[in-house]
Amino acid sequence: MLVISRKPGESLILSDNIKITILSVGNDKVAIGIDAPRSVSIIREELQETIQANKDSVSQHNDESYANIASMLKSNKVKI
Amino acid sequence: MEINTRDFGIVHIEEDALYDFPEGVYGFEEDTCFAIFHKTFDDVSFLYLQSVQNIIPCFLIFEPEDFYPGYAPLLSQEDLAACGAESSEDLIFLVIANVPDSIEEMSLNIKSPLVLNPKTKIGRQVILQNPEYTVRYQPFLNQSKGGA
Repeated sequence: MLVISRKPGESLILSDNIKITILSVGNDKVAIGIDAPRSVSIIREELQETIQANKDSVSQHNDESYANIASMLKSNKVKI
Repeated sequence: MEINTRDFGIVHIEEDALYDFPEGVYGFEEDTCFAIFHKTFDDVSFLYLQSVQNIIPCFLIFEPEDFYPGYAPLLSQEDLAACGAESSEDLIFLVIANVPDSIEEMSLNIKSPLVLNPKTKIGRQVILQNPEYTVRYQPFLNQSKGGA
């Protein structure tokens, strides 16, 4: 990973047309401004991970699969 | 009422098991009405969140405390207001399971739980502010809670 130090008010330019500016730095938060063309999608990482996790979690299961999950819960002493 | 489910065909649902998700869930924003129902396998009662409009999305869901004792979700004021609640104590938290073929790799999304308000019957998926929670917490592989 490329690591660059910036101070509040300073910016970075990505591929000529995306500008990222550090607006302010707090105790455990950084405010970042992004100037980019509308076609560039910007999403918080945890949101993208959540969308992917949801899509991965809708696959169909049959009775045998649920019996196997039940057995796994019992053998790990998880009571639900 | 009767609804068509992903795994069990037609299932009868009581009206009070229906929740309105005004913004859907992430990745499935079109589905705004969900039903909660149970099915029992080998004396284990499983809980489901099933879209009323489509057979997918349907999620196998669990109470986080059963897998992560001391679960302490930190909700934003915006999320609380969207659920019509003043405090997290008015809300029910449930987490979505992802069950791959090798079941010991089952993961729970403890970072983005489903939040239900039983008074208003409004549901929402929220992204918690707890930095230590992950979207793929593996209860059968993580020996100690909070593992990466």
